[in-house]
Amino acid sequence: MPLIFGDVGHYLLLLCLIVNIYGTVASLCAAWLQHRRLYLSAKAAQSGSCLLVLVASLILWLAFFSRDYSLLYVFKNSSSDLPSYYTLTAFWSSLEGSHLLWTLLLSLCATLALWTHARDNEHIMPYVSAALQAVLAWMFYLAVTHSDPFVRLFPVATNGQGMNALLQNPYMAIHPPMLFIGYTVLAVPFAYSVAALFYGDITEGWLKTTRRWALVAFCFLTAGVSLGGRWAYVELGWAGYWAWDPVENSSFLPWLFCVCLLHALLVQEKLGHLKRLSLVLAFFAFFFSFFGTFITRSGVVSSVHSFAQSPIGPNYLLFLAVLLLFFILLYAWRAPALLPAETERVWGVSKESALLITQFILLTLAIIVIIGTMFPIISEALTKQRISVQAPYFNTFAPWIGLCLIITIALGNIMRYQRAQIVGGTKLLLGSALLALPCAVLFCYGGKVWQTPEGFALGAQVVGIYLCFWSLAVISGDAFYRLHHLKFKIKLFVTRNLGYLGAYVAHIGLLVAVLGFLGNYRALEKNVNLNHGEQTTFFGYQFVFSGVQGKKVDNAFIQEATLQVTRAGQEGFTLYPGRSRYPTAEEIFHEIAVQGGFWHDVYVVLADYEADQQAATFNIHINPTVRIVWLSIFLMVIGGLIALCDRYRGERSRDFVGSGVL
Amino acid sequence: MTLPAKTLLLALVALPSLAAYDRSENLKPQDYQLFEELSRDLRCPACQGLSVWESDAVFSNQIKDMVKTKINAGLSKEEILAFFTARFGYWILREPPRRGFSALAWWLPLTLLLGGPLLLWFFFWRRKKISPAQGVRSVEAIIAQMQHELAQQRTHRPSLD
Repeated sequence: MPLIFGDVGHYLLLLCLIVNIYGTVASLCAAWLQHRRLYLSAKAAQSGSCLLVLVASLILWLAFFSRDYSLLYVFKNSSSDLPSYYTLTAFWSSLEGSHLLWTLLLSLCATLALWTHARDNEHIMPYVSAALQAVLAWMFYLAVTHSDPFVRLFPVATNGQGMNALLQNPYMAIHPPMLFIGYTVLAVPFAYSVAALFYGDITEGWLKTTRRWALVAFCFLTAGVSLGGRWAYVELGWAGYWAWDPVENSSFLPWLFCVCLLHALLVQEKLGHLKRLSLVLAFFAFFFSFFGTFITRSGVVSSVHSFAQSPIGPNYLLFLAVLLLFFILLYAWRAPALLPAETERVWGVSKESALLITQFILLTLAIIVIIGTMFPIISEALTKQRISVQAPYFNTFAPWIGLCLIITIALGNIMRYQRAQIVGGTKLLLGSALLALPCAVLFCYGGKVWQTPEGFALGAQVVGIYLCFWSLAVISGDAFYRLHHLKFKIKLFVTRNLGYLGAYVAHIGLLVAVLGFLGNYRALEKNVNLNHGEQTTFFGYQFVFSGVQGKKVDNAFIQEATLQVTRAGQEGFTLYPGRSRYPTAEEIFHEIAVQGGFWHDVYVVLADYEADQQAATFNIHINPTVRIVWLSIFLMVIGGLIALCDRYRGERSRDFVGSGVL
Repeated sequence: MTLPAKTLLLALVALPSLAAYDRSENLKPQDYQLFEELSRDLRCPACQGLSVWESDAVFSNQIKDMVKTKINAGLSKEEILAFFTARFGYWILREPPRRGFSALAWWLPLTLLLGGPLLLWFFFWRRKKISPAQGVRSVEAIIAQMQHELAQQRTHRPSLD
């Protein structure tokens, strides 16, 4: 790659910064002066900036593929032996590149948002454009100052330091882009809520557009967060996928606020209430996507003192503070101008109350997660006492939140807007209570739940599983009543009710997820030393060890143990747990072997082996119902996608309150 | 950061090895469960979010050995945890202590969970506003309403002649 390209990339980013600053100012002036042509120029500026940052990103990719070690970022994050697909993903394997990726995605998103909007949103588009371009300008400012991926390395190295081996995993290749898309998509509801505040009113088109973007964000965030969990599961070797560590928490927070926002928008759409709450939620969903990056990037999580070491930390803090202050002031100034809701007979015992309670539960969980993540920092800053807040803390509260959610999902779904009456009533609730019984027994039997030794944990698990099935039965029964009401005109039900159908699938997804969490509440494990040809049995499986072989896969050297696994009445399989070593790194990494069916995974870690390759130590885990958790993620994303296809909103929807149908 | 914690972190940087750890070694079978409970309560100093039980990092293994020594010396669970907090500070425990400033981390969520519904009741259920029309107004609806009002004004306008 010609040497000049790196500098071109840097200047392109600088140009983007200037163009976006112009776009922000022009949008604001256009809004102030009601000048359409000026707004169109701001829109053109955003489109142009999007093209420029795309070119800049392509240059960085080109530098990776041409192994151009004159760029410091390429030198630090790749090496000549890196396979081509990981060369593609090495782009976002470290701070500067992932910042550029985020900026690129945000720019694409902003451009898309400006070009596609509801017809009756024309009047607020200048504000939307100003908000999006201001955020982008700040991102570009960081990209050219503290997080520049085009910094030179001199003298030019002949080989790079290699990509972080932990990130050389297919899940890590798609997890960051998914999450980043989710984060960036959240910027659009934020921009719309700023615009609504400036303008002082919310239209139907506003709702439609915001709901759509929030749903897209929901799908991507769900997929992104769970792919991160999946990565931890297959790469880190401690047989779990969620440890409540700050990085995970900070990706979970925007998801929580996003889900909350979707429920608030629903109440707003049907009844016109909770307008201000949805504006605030849209803001916080966006705020926490940046907040997460701040606490993970700045090093503030590990200690207050490491915070000052990276210049990006204080910059993020400044941005977050300005963002928060700006929104609070804007809200205080403009929120009273929003027209109040115009609905009679609301709240009381009704669906809108259930939706409100759902939001309360989700927000409570979010606040617990925030407290848990921030408390060590606050405690250290205020009392000089270092403390840890880890999984046990979160696990004290999470089951109760889960319990509340299960019950609220069941009761909330069968209620109707504005009336204290349940279709099906006691028949539905009691029928489900009966139906759930055999399902729960079957699940406990299949998942071998009774192997949980402790009394309390076992009881909690069984009760939780039963309630999940009850909730599943209740919402399915309600779906039946809705169909019945339409005299089983399936086509009408599907076309006019996609919003409801999507929610139904997503709620089933969540309940299935809770079932999965309950099932693998307690995993079984065995630590065993085996000589060549020796065998061990665990959980009905027979493991025969037949030596360790070394081999080379792509850029890694892997020492692989061979374990023949058999089980009475089942087809046997072979597991190859191993240890890998990359020439560019000092550490040795786990290569985990996982094989499993619906009910449980057999998860084997090669803990150690003798130099003669004839003896090895294994950690064998049996992880129940992990597959069910992955399945539930699919359901949730599919639910979001179904709801996204819903073209019938407002009074054209079957769920329309005024029609008296539902 | 207390001094032991610092030395401990420094020691970790130089220790990338992942030697296998035999959990039942040097331990009476009846003490195994106590050992598991304790090592699930102590954090792995090198990792993010893991306990020493889940981690095979060298320092985690040293802590596990210390736990075993204390168990074999006949100390109770509380005494062993007290030993570790005295040595490394509360940082070594995976959840914050329930007294002093850290009690806040426990009381805030509880207050929120129990007090939140009260707030909801206060702000939403207690007052019910009643006014005509419904839902979010579309622009069309606003225009229609204005035209309707205009038309009404026209009809009520006193005639000039």
